Amino acid sequence: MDTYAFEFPVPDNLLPRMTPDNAPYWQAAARDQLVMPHCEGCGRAFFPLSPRCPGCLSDRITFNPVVHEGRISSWVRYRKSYYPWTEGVTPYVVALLDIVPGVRLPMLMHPAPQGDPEIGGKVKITFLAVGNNQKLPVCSAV
Amino acid sequence: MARHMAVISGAGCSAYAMKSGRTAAALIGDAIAAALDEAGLHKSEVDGLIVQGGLDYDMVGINFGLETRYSMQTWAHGRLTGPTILTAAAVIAAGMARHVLCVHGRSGVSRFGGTPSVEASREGGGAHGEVPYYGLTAPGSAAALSWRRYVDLYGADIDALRHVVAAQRHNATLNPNAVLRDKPLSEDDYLSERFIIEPLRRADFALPNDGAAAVIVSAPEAAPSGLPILGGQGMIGGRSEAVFARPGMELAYQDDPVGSWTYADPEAYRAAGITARDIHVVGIYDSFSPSVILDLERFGHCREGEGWRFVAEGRMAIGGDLPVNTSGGHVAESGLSGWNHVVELYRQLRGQAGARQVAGAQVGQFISPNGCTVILGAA
Repeated sequence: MDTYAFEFPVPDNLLPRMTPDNAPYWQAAARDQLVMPHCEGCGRAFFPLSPRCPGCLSDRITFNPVVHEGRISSWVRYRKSYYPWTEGVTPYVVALLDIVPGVRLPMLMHPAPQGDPEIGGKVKITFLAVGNNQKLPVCSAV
Repeated sequence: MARHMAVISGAGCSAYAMKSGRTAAALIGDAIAAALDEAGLHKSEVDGLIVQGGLDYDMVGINFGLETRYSMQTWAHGRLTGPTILTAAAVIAAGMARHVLCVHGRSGVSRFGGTPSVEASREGGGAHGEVPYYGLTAPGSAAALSWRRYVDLYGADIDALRHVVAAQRHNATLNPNAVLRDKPLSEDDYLSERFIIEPLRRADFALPNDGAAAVIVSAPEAAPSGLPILGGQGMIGGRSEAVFARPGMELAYQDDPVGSWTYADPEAYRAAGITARDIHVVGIYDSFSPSVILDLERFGHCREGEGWRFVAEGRMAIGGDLPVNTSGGHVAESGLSGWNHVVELYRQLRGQAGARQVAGAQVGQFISPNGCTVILGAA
């Protein structure tokens, strides 16, 4: 699918705030690596980030790399700009991705698809530099 | 009649307007006065209070001269409306109060999804799946993802929402207090509405208007002519739920796979001794129009995957098989976190709904998000 790149000027105050629970995730993203919490007790990967495993409540959590790809299960296209910073950015597409069992999350599609993304379609995950020396995982059709 | 632990003795609301020029406190005062009048109660008889947004509980008591022995307030999200009523009923059953006033109001909310709130930046996303750094800023995000998912899972017409919106916009023309009382919208005109968060259009969203409502939940012996709460069930918390969706859609953090959800008579129906077919009028929390279709399925008013056909066949109309959102609902009457639906059901069951009255309405259902429902009977 044809794609196009665009500026995505997220203001610093909307960027993820680092906490002891999420630091490994964002530190890995800054190195172009997607990691997910895995439970040492039951082996489950999970999302969102949590200080304990939602399966067995163990607090023994390690952040392991996962594949940099996923499948689109749904998507939306923002036509309305809700913030001044998105005025030059709309329309933009955010897709809901299944990555590995237990891990589903939305990601901005960047570069953006020219047409409608395909549900069930495969995406690759890359990393978009934003402020604060941070990077956001984003996805694009393959 | 089934045994019931509480009744709704009175319900009322303020005038609804896009920009009222009045404070939430003033609007809440109007709603409280209307509900007390309807219940035939003096404010000194109210001994319980639950506030669900608009004014803090302490100022409600201070401003309006209440002395309540049970006082509470909730997270200011509309999904707490059904749970607030059920909590009031439980408070009464536990003997902690006899008349619990439940109130909600708002003023000056011209739009949602703008100012980034602390809540939207929670770990794991906002209450509607907002992720501000991806530009996923508005509550409609979750509903838009849900509707696209539904269309894909069931092969539905993506424009089926036009049937919901047109029906409710028509109902609003029969309601002198509806914000959009003079603005019907045909199904064809719906299709030329602009997209806000595709696939949702402007007309699919709740109105960001000013208004307030009050509902008084009372002990049956203290309000013999109240409307009985025949049954109810609370809001589900956990990974099985995705707001504005159903279980088993693989949305948000749902672990349960597609196909794992099947309809079974809800506990609330069993408590009331009814089935879906015994319900005459329904109010569905419709901050986004897809909820109407999804919740009709969830509560057994049609089969899974067929809600979009149900609305396409005109069955939700006043005069149809099951009138839904007869006041116009959030999209056409008032975006009031479900409280306007409760007031409307109260009026329907009292025979006070005027031009939009559902003939023979004896059992009404309020459907609140995430699996919560309240079944009301006529007096």
